[in-house]
Amino acid sequence: MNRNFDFHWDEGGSSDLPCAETYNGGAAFSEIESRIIRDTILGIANQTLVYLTVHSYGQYWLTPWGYTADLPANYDQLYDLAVRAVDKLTAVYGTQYTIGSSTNVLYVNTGPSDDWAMGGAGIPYAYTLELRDTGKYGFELPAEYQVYQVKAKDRVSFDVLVKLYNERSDVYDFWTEPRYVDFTTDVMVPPAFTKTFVDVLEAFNMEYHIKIDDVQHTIIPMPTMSKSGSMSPLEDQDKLLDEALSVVKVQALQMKRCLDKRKLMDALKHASTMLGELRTSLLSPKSYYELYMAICDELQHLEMYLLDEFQNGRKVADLYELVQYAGNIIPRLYLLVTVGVVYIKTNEQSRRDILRDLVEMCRGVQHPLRGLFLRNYLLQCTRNLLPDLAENDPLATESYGNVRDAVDFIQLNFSEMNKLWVRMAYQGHSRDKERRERERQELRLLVGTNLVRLAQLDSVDVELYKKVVLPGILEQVVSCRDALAQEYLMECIIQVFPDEVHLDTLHTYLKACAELHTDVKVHVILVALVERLAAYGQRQQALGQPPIPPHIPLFDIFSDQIGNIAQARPEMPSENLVSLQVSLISLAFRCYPEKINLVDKVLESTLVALDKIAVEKVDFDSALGKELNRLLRMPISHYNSLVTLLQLPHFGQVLQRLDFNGRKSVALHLVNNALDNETYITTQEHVDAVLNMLAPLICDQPDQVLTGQDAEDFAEEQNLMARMIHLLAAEDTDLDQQYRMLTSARKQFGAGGARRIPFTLPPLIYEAFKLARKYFDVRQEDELWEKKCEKIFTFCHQCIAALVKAELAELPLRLFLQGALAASQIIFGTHETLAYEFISQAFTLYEEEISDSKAQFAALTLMAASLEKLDCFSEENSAPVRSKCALLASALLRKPDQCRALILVSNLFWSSTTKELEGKPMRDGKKVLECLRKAGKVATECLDPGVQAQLIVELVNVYVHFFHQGNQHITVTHINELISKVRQDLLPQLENSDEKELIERHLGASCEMLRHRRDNPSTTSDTPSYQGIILD
Amino acid sequence: MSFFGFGQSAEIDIILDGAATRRTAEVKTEDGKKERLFLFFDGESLSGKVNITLKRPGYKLEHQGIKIEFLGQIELYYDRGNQHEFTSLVKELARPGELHHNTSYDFDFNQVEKPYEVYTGTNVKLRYFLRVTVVRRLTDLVKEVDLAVHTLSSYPEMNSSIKMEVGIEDSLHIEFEYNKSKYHLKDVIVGKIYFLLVRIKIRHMEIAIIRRETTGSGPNVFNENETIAKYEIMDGSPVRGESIPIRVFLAGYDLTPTMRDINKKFSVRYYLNLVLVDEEERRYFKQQEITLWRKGDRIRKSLQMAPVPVTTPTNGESDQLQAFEKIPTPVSEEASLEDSPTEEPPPNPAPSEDIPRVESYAEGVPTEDA
Repeated sequence: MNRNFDFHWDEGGSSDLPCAETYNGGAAFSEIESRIIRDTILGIANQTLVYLTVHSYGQYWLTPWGYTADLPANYDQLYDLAVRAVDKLTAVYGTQYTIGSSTNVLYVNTGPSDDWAMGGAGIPYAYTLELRDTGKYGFELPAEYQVYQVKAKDRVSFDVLVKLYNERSDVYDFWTEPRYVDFTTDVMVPPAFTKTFVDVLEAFNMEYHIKIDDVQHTIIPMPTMSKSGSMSPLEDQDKLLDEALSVVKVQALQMKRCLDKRKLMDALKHASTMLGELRTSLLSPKSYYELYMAICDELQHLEMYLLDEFQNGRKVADLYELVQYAGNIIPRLYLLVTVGVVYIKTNEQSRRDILRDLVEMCRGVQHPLRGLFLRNYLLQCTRNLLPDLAENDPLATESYGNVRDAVDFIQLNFSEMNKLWVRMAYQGHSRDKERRERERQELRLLVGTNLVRLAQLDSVDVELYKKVVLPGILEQVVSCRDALAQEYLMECIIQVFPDEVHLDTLHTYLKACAELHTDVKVHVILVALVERLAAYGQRQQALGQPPIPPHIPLFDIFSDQIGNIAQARPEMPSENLVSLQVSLISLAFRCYPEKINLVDKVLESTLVALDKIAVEKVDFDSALGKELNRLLRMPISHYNSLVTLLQLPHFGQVLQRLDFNGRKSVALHLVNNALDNETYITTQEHVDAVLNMLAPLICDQPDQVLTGQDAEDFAEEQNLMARMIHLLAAEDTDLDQQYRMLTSARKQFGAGGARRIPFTLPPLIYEAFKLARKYFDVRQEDELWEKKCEKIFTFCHQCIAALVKAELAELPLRLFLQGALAASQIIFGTHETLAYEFISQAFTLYEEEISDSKAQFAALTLMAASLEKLDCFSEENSAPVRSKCALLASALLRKPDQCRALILVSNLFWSSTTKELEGKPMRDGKKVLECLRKAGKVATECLDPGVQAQLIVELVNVYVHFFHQGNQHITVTHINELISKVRQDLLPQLENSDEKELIERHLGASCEMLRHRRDNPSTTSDTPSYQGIILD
Repeated sequence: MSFFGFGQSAEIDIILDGAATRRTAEVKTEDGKKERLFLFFDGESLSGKVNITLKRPGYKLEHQGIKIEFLGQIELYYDRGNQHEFTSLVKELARPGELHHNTSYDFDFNQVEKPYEVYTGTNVKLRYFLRVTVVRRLTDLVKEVDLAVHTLSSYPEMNSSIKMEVGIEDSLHIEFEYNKSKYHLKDVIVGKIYFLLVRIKIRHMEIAIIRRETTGSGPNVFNENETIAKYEIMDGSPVRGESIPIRVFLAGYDLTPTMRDINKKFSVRYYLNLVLVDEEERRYFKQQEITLWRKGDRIRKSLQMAPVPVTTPTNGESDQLQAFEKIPTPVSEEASLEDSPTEEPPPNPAPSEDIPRVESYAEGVPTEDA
């Protein structure tokens, strides 16, 4: 399924074999499932931001593309969001996800749904999630069943065990049945029940231990090492980690045993050996983390034990010294931290000094990875122990310390960790740089935790934050001169500290931003900040408060600082500058919704910025072009109103900076937006302005690339424009305005050239007809309405003429006919003349331009139909037109066409009307018969008996029709003749075929009808008698 | 006579006064084991009883006199059988005669001078013992009891810190500081290492405590170095500007006081060896002698917490900092992976008078007391 999507389908990484896991389906969207997904997504694509497809396994958070190793254009944003998501995941489950594009992280795979969602459906964020695990179990994660070895020590508990055995065997799987007291039984316990089970065991004082920690592990044989000798680094890592973990397990067990026997010294020795595993340099950060986590778990046991011990009166001071005899620094410091924590908790010594000592002693570990984890351990252990008391709090004694000490502690730890983290970048070969950067990304959370802790200190008030906390952090961040760290930490500051303090420290923060390393994507940071504050403003607003405290000119600060940053970093890519403007606009929208001038100000400053880099036209496909595009789309989507946009004088100017493709894209967006929101344009000025903005869709542009555009796309664009025209609607009462708007639009669209006007002019013309009708409706109120209608029709005529000029025939012909119809319905002075003019134009067109026989027939059909409807002609005008029609009909090239056209024309003489007849049908039976005779004659001239038969059968029906209508000139004889002609002459000539059968059936049906009429004569007098019809 | 089991024999026991309450101390024996011995200090009197128990009651024991000796002895292992007695006191317990039944004699050495501390080293042993001899015609009956002696010192008058900047040109410059130059045996070495220049990839740094035992004199000087402790103080490679704390608790190690030229026979000195090991396993080190002394431990030492803040090279005590030295670049011989700094200038130039005397010597930094 995940190779079946139509985006670079079957370009590698998929299989043509139906049995393969990666079978691509044989064709894109060959599967119903993928099609349904496609249709569903396409239905909501334009309102969808993120597309997630959830898979297993591998713990990856993947972005497109799968078909190429190139990264998608918005990879930075994709990556950024992914990092945030993964961080959250890690925070909850501790699982580590690898982020990257699927080709780069895994392998090439074409036709996956995420590629399509992004590339095909245009959803900006598309991810594939590969859930747990990393390959130990793969697709089937086990429930972790454990096996307990249980021994009942007395009768009572034995009975309990037996009861469990007898009654709860659905839950507990007894591997051996309990036989007698002191007999050891093995019980497998499902994960959900371990706690209950252990509770029972403990309640009845049974002896037990876990025999198998995870049954699955025992059952599934461990993969054997490849025989070839060289293991891949990944396998190597696993092996190393496994070894380390098993040491940890053994030592932890012994440590716990010693603790149980109250042999503290031995326990510490085992703890130290266990911690010795953390001295390794061989593990990757990921594996090291796992090891660290395992060890931390075990250390908790130790801590709990010590705490117990010391609350019972043991001296901690000795121990604090004792653990420092450990010769190796890593185990020593871990133990020191553990004991130090106990020390603080038992309150024997001042917490302030211990904390200070611990954070100071940790300096001994200068190895980045080990140092980071050690300090992380310190941070974790002390998280609830920091002296979080205000300076003037009576409890904050000299030895207890106050919040300042807590801040100092964290800040020192933070700066040391950051230094270590930064240092990682400079270790090892430069060819591994990428891997190192990745590893550093994985570790950044450790550093960031410091900031989280700072944010968690309740006693830090705005003042302290402003004077101590923030400057401290910023100093470290700025001075580390490392782009990765700066970018992450600056964003971290934004995220972890509350919005209120950001508002108060904007200047400091933004100043620091300007001092960051040149590689830092400052715009990302600022965007995040603006985003955050904007959201804050919105929330405040929702609470009914002013979004931003009025004394903080948030917008001005930002726009000034962004200017400063731009100045300080002349090398900053212009697209980033623009993306800053985008965020400013967002800020303006959300915090200053009523100030539309701010938005314009942003656009203006963008313009200035563009001037500065001397860019005349911005390539749409460039990063800058994309950002500009985004910038322009923001107000469009925000206001959802074209007309509001017109209040932004600089919008159009910025738009002009885009190249043709860019402008077109924005224009399309505008049109779509207007259509979706049904934004009506009500004045002529607006029409001009709007159409100016949409110019790329309306007429050829000087910078237009003349490469062939897909005709279908073009048609679609123009159809949009056509729909757009229907949005030109002045107030109902202001019809003159509407007329002015239409003429304005006409002027603009008229410049569109022969390719466009077929799309754009017809709707205009129809609008004009509509307008004329409206004038007609209000004719009592407007004295000049006739004049105006005339003007409108003249306008329409011109429009159609323009189409004619564009060497079109059918379309203007239809429009002429429509015009004639419209004119005939609106009864004003010259309407007959006008209608006649339209009709005659249509005929002229027919004669001059339409040469294809089929088209002629179609046109003639239309013309006949229109004429039948027209009722405004006097006989004087009507007669020539009718006869012209008949003439044209008989002048058609193909006989069958002639025949059928004549039949049509015959109707004109029967049911059309003239002014003189005042709406009554003409009923010129003689002329009708003439036409039909002629038609019959033409039919008989057809050589093919099948065609002839068919035509005559049709003719029969027409005769019957007129006969039934009471045409005196038509008699039963006519009908009989025709029927017998078919029966006797034509049908026998035909071979048996479908055609013959069809004709026979047709004829049969007609005869059936006639028989019915003959045998059941109507009682009313005006129906003619069917007697004499010969049917057999 | 006793060869044939006919002669009388006797067991000799020496029972010290107050043995039940007297403190003992562990002393290493030559074979590396440890035994507990009664502990005495300089000037303390030794008194007690000597019990002689006859093995064959009813038979007499003839003797040429009974004496008890208090001996202080230095034994150089390469010169066995040639013990140097630096102290020898004799008390006659009985004149020549006969013993007919178990007899007991009191003895008393008043305020005995015990100038040195017991010591068992690699090449030398210094011991104190009491010896009772029942002199007989053929074989004397002898009983020896070893005693432990500790020498207590008073607070050193001068105890300046050790502070020095060392380095290898263009690749490594460090400044280190130990808070004192004289430590008692339960003391804590607190210090700091400040990295001024790092252009090598250091893997780790450790402090070793080295005992150097010097025996003999003149041309026959034997030096025996023994690493008592190795203590890792840094893991990984620091960059310029880092300072690494040092804190070493001495109480955990098997140390003796520094002994200088004991009876012109031997010396035991202690050195702190700061060793930096780089990624290629090259070792850079700097040795500093420290003086160890024994302090009467009547007052329990309180915990020392905070490291002594390092004084940057620019402030205070600048006189001492003149002892800046440069280490020449390492010799490129294959064998000499160990790069030792050149001999330093006179070990610890006499501290100038204006350095404040350390008042609270060894009793913990006052501010740290809870």
